[in-house]
Amino acid sequence: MSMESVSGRQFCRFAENMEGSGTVLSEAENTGLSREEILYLYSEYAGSVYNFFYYSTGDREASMDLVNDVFVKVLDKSPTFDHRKGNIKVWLFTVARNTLRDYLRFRRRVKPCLSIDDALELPAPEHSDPEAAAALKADIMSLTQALEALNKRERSLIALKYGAGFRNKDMARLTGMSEKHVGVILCRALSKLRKHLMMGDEIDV
Amino acid sequence: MYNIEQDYTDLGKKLESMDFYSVLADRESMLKNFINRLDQREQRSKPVERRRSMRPAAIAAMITVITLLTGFTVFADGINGLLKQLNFTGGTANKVEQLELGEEYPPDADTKILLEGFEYAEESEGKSESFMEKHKFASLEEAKDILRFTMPEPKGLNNWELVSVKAFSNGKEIYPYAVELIYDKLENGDWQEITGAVPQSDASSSVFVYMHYLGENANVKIDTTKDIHIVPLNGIEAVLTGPLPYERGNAYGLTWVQDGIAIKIFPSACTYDDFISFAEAFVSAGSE
Repeated sequence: MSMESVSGRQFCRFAENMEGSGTVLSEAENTGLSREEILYLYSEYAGSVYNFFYYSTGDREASMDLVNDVFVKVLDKSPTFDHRKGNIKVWLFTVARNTLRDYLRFRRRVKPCLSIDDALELPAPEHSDPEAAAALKADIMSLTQALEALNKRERSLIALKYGAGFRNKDMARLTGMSEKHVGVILCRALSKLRKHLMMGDEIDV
Repeated sequence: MYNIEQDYTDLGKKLESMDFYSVLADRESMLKNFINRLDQREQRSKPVERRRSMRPAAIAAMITVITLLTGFTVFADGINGLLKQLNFTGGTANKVEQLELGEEYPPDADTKILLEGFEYAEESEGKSESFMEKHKFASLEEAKDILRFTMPEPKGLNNWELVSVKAFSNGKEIYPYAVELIYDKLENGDWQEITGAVPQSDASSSVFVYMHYLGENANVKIDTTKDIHIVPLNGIEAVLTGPLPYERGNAYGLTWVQDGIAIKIFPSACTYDDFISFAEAFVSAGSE
């Protein structure tokens, strides 16, 4: 982080809680997150939140905006955070899911799939090997199109699993579904993705 | 030998390795933007703590319900008549007994239809189109398979069967809904699509599916169905429908029976907390 460097370890109270083991925001007095703390969370989780949104929307610009919306909401709501209801990552993604839902609800026009124009707008990945960069871009385009074949629930679970990096158990807790149900839907979603990716034959699976 | 499990594992690894953030996001501008927002937020919070004022969403909810109240008599008359038809006397006033009585399908004297299951199917445009690929269901099992969710059991209804499935979207407004696709069961047991319209749904909306059941006994109480929650409001049990708090965004419906009349409010957009606090005041006023 170039502008406001945050020393990660100094926020050990958060780090302890990130895997749900320790306590965070002392129970007696939860005054919410400080500027430094929210920046630390941002540095830790902006990537996975962005990946979650991109998996969910396929829209790189919107995902950037949504990430910032989430962290502002987290900051605003941090005085109400109750660690007993889940670790901070689960809470963060609960906010992210709600933000996504609001976004999808009010988005009137949705691009059904990645158009050629959109594809051209994808920035070239930073890669030392031009061939590898081109392949990566092609992979992203194929995957973005294949994701459109999933329904909302399937896509949401794929986003939580591969964007946010949750285990099935945590996803079950987040979504209110059983762990088994999560597994079944994920399997179905992977099957669909695989089918679409193989049909396109543009990604090596 | 081909191993499909390995195939899925490889795909999973591929997905895990996709770091869109590194490839697609302009991280520096994101961070700048975020810090700007933090700065603005801090600037705003400097003045003396401002008095709490009614939030726009709460005002919107109130306006909506006032509007509903003006048309309430007509609505209540219709529902009241329907309740009488169904031998619902209102003997347990202030307690929810029936939800979503078939407003669009008033049961005739020969029909024993009573229960309307409510399910919520999260579907995107692609999936709703897939409804059209199957023009009829050959069996209940096939209907279940196509609709891809677990059929709610109509509790308290004897010898029931599913007789119609309605799918519609809320692409434009939360309420009222436009029925756009209906399946009905024919005499020969087949299922037939009886309207030709495709639910106009996109990723910003949802496709809802209503299922109608025929059964023998009329007096059934819906107590547990997905997305339906009984909430206590000033001593009255009311049914909260629609999105789950913190799970399904910000659209809620509330139905309860008061003095034998089913009352429903359906504000357009507000937070769950706004809605409940408003509903509490409304229920209280209505009970006096």
